[in-house]
Amino acid sequence: MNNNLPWWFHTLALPAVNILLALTACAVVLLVIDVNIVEAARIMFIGALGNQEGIGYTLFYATNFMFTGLAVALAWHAGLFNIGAEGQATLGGLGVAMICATFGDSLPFGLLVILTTLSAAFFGALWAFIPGWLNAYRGSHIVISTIMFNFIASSLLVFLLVNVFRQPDQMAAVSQTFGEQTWLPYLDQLFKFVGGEISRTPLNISFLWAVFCCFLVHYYLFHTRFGYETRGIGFNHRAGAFAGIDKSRVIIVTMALAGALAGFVGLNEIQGSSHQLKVEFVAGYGFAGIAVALIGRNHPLGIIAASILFGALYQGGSELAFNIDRIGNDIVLLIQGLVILFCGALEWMVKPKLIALFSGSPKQPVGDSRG
Amino acid sequence: MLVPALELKDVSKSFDTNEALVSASLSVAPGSIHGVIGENGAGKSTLMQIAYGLEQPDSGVILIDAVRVNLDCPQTAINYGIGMLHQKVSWLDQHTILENIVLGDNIHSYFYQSSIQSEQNLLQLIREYGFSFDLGTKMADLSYGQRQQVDILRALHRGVRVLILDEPMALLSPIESGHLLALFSLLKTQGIAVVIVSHKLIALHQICDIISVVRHGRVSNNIAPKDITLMQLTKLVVGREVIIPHPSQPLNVKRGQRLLRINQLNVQFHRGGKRSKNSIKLSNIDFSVDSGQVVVMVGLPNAGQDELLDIIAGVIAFDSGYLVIGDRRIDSGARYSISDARRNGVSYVPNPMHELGLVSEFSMAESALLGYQNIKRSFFSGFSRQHNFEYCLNLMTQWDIRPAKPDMKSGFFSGGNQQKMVIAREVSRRPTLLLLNQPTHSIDVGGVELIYQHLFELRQQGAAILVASNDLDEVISLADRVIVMHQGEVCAQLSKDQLSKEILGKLMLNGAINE
Repeated sequence: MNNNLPWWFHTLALPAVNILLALTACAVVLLVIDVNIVEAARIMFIGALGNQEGIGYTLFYATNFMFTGLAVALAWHAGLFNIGAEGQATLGGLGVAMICATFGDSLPFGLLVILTTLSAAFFGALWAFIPGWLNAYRGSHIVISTIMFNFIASSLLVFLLVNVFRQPDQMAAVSQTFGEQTWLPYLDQLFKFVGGEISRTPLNISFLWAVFCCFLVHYYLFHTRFGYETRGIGFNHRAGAFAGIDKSRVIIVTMALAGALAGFVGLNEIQGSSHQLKVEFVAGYGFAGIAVALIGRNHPLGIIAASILFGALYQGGSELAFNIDRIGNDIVLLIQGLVILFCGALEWMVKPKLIALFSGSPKQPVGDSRG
Repeated sequence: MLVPALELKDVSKSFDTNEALVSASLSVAPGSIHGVIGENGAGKSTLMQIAYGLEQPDSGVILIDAVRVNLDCPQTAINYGIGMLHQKVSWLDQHTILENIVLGDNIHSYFYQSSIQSEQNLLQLIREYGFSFDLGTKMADLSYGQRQQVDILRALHRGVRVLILDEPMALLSPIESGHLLALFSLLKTQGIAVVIVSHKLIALHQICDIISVVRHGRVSNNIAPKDITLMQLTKLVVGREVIIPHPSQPLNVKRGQRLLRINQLNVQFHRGGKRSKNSIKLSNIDFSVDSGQVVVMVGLPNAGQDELLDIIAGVIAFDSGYLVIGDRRIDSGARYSISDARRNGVSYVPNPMHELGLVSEFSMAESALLGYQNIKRSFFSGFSRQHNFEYCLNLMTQWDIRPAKPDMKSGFFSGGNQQKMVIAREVSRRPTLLLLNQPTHSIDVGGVELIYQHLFELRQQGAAILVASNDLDEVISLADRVIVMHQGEVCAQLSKDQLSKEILGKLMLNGAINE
């Protein structure tokens, strides 16, 4: 590898170029379906970052991406590919809803928040613990079992909504709306408290919790003995075992922690925004978490940036679908897909050229330097 | 003057911020045995990897038979007649030698491939060079030395003209090394150039026509061994004269406490399939090691030394008998893991071939902690980056591990420096029982001297040291007592004054001195 690259090359320049390429490809698609690109770009940018409301929604979506991105990245450091963030988030939401439905009226708010947080973590962790245990002691493949658990989770949710949570007078498969005393404070309320003012969006305090979790995971992975053991097993499990690290324990604990992180999606979605349990409240955030982890290079702090990017694309895409008739909601998936394609699969397309450009001394093909 | 078979001109290469090669030049004559020596991390391996197309140089030219070539991958190098033997080769164990060699043949038809022609060619080569195996044998039934010979046969089959070998004698018994050296002479008469990268200066001094010394990324000298003594050769490598074989230090500790006792140990392993000839049995192992003693186990590969060390360290279990380590007795079936062993004051330096000592993606500062991550420290200081960095830097200066950059990834260090770090880490924990498997394989003469000094110092402090080695020079330098293993049994125990290479060689091969 070349040596004289500035530090920001891999973390900033390379992703920026790749994302730009992805957006260009996206522009080509819009051109083909005869949409005014300049207008579309304006709508997307303004919609996602141009005003307080856009930023609020962007950060609200980013919160979900942070939780699921962390769930994938943490497992990756132990050499596990956690595809089950979707199911773990579903269970986390179930945990939040159960607490809100049972104790919503009786407990003071502070205690309730602690309970819902623990419950989201517990149920998410449970849903990841089982595949983790199966992998550690029965050798079942983590990818297969976590995918299966996604299906089980969504079926379970439908079953519970239809048979348990649904109100008798309701047709739709949704739970009751929880009382206002259970709602997480919106960020604008928080701002009002300290004297500032921003407009009302679903953005709530779980965003701060998500950012805090990113730092927490960073500390855990790189500054504690458990994180050290996790990475040791992830990089080279034979050498790890030789160092006396219990591989099964690392797998189970890491999966459970990853599941707990994914479960926090329930806090943001249910206690923070919709205030009721709906069938598909996870809406693909779990799978998008894989992409977030990929673009954040599985680094907890990189995930903050990647999540905001994804939140902006999500919000911008929704605005686009809302404002231009010819475009449907699938545009969000298209943009996400192209970003993953360019940042992940096609990373090596421009990387060598960029390295040559940035390192100052373009690499001479062997033999060209001399006659 | 003949045109060189392989020539590297002004080749430079850097990894990360490290300059591995700085305009190095090497010229290999056809039909010669060419030694390449140098300190750990001097750039020998990088030079060879460039010659075999595994790495691309940043600048410089490669010439084969005076024609400039671009070796973009090993297959290109093979097509140009360059072959390289690796220490670790993956074979299809359940397939025959013939099938394994034919696997690399050019494909002429996608539907049908005949191996008749290849087989005839191979039989011809086997007759010419006197290889002693049958093409129908399964790879799983071959020893390490025989596999190496199969590798050479494969290279010959592909029309090799420059054969590069990285530390070929390191894992061979003395008899096998003898066979290999004889084979080199034969290759030489066929006009094939043999390039040997090795730290075994004694052997190189005997067989090489020319020796190139690599220092700090440059080829600093090209010398004919007959013009120079062994001692002068060591000076060219490490910058000072080193006596080899390394002198042993007399034991001046009184017979101490018994730190390891192995009593009637039995175990049966299966390796490479149940019926394979490589399945190993340890039977009735019974010996002990006292404090202030270095005991060395010798034996042919697969005589059971590796497994015995693994058992003592708690890596694998045993069937019957018991161990006593310190004052703790361990019966078969007892819960005893490598962490338990460490808590009991046992340190284990595993065979470097298995790459268990370090995590190559970790920084060296992190790898320097491996195995001791659980040691009680205050929660915050234990994993402070600063603390680990300084600890590692300290080890690096004490043990002359280069480059002294604790932040560099472990995998970027040369093999010898990685091994030095593993030994440094284990020895610095002041174990009461230190186990080492082939400790100085791939370490330069200066490093070996340093390691021996540290080991003798540890012995002086009352530790017991048990080593498995098949380097007879090492055995004679280190051992206070030698245990000879043969087919899973202890066939002889020799004290220091009974040692000689002849006796050891006979015992290893036959299990007895009188046949």
